[in-house]
Amino acid sequence: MTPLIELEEAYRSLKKDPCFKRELKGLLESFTGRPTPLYLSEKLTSYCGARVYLKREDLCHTGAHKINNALGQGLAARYTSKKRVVAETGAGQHGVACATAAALLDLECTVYMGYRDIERQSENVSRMRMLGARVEKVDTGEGTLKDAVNAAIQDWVSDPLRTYYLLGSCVGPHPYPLMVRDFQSVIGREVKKQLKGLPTHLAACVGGGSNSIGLFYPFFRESGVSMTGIEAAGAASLTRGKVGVLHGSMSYLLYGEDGQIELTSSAAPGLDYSGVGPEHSFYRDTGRAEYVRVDDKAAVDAFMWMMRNEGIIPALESSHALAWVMGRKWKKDDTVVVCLSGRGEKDLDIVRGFLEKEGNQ
Amino acid sequence: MKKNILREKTRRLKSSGKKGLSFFLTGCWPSTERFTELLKIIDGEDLADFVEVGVPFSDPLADGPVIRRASGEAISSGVTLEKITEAAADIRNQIKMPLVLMSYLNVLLAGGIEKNLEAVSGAGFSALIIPDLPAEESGSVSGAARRFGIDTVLLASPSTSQERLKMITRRSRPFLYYVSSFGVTGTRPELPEDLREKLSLALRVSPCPVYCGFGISSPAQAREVAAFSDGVIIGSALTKKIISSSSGCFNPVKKFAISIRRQLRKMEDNARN
Repeated sequence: MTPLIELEEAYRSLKKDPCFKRELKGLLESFTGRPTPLYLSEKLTSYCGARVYLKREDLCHTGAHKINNALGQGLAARYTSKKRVVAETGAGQHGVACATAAALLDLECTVYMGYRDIERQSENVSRMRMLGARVEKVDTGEGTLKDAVNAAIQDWVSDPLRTYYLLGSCVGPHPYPLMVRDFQSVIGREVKKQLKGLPTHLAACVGGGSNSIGLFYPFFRESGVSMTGIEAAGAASLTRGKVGVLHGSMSYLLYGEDGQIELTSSAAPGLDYSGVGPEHSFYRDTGRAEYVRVDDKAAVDAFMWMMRNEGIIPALESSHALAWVMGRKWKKDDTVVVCLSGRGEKDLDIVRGFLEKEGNQ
Repeated sequence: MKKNILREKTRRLKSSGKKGLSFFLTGCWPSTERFTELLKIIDGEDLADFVEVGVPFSDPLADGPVIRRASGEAISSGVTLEKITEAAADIRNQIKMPLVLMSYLNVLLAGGIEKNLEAVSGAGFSALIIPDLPAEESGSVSGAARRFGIDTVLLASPSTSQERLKMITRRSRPFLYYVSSFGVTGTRPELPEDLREKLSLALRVSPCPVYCGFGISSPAQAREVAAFSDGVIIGSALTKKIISSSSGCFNPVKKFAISIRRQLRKMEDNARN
């Protein structure tokens, strides 16, 4: 608890620190390339029969929204005089973002990654290593994100004085869900500025839920804006789970009758998590957002459609959100903003494998 | 309300100047039969004052590799909280020592905490240890446990501030579980240097006895820690002995337990003389 209490105190003062704010803003602009474009996709617009905008987080430096949080927390690590960051990663996007932030900010970096994810995201493993990070393979459990979180927390609590735990999603113990939401809210704030008037709908994929909470949160009080979080059918904690406790927070969670956390299975590694951020559980319970499921096939179809028709390779995670938007009936006056949370080069092998398997059946 | 035998035990030990000893066993592991056999040996031969029974969990954040392994094997063989409470209830009348249940919170919540606490109480457990439940959030769970006559043991560590330590010791019953070092359970060649100082502070502020665990693996370490606490809790080192005695009798376990006991007794004698 002590490291968490210290982190909360540190973060509260950093939030008000003009130096910290200025430095982060500068990095987001000149290093990450923010603001990212809000792109009106004509083809999706004509396909859906509503105006469909894509918030292009895939154009961030390192290729996903994860860098927004990695820079924010990396800077927090430096302001609190930590020498080293540890992180978990699923798809590898957060790991790459951390390795990048650590290289820039002169921090040592260790990234924990499940063995299964290491196999299916080998390119990101090479990127992290070449950026100077140590990538530690996690052999326990299913070898995915949940197990990497366990290992990273264990590393952190063994050396909390020197080490900063750079958590990548809006999950885990307080104050992480709050910090990650704050650092990702730049997504929604930019959309608000870029769009003339309010959208009618927001859509984003939800694994732990960081890109979606970043898009949703600035619109929380805009009651005319409806929000939809799209889960992977094989990892649907909000739509299939029960309230439980994992990694220091109480939230919707997939677990069996005996309380053991259940295995998840999604083609998108970044959605392969048994829990979800507690703030999404709040949005769900209060009805502020609705949560739906999309299966692997629909996501792969959307992925391919985007490549063929838009010349954009969306991350498989983001493809879940696109699939839901493409499958829903819209009204002509609807304005939909979809968070294109990352680029999908990392997923080409998975999609190729998926299509080959389908072709053989 | 039925009397809480763990409270009496820890109080009696403290007032008579004796150092308490507790072992951690993974519930129903290596098998239900071996587990209950071991409980009977520990009780019958007075190898420990009470036993902490761990409910295996898929994501045991506080546990190191040895207990994680035992936990994983137990889950694979179908061990659940229900099986553990059934096994404990079955032998409750055959053992005298108190039992403490160590469980991660999600397992206790699954299926309804009241129902689970009723089973835990029915099986004769005197207290709960929930490693992923911070003292600040413990009120509702410990309140519910109290209604079933179960105490809630809270954890503190060397990084706990003095202010929190006071708050935790006020809420922890019937003892405080002091985590010897940063990090997870597991045997360590050396205990942290400032442990002595930190433990002394905990002893000073705590109205209840202070038991120290995590990383204690040898009689010498047990003695070192017991010098500044009311008792020691040993898990991983004992689990290793169980693994090494997996096919035959529990001789390595007994030998180890006796060597720890002997050291603690020697200390008590020295203190008296």
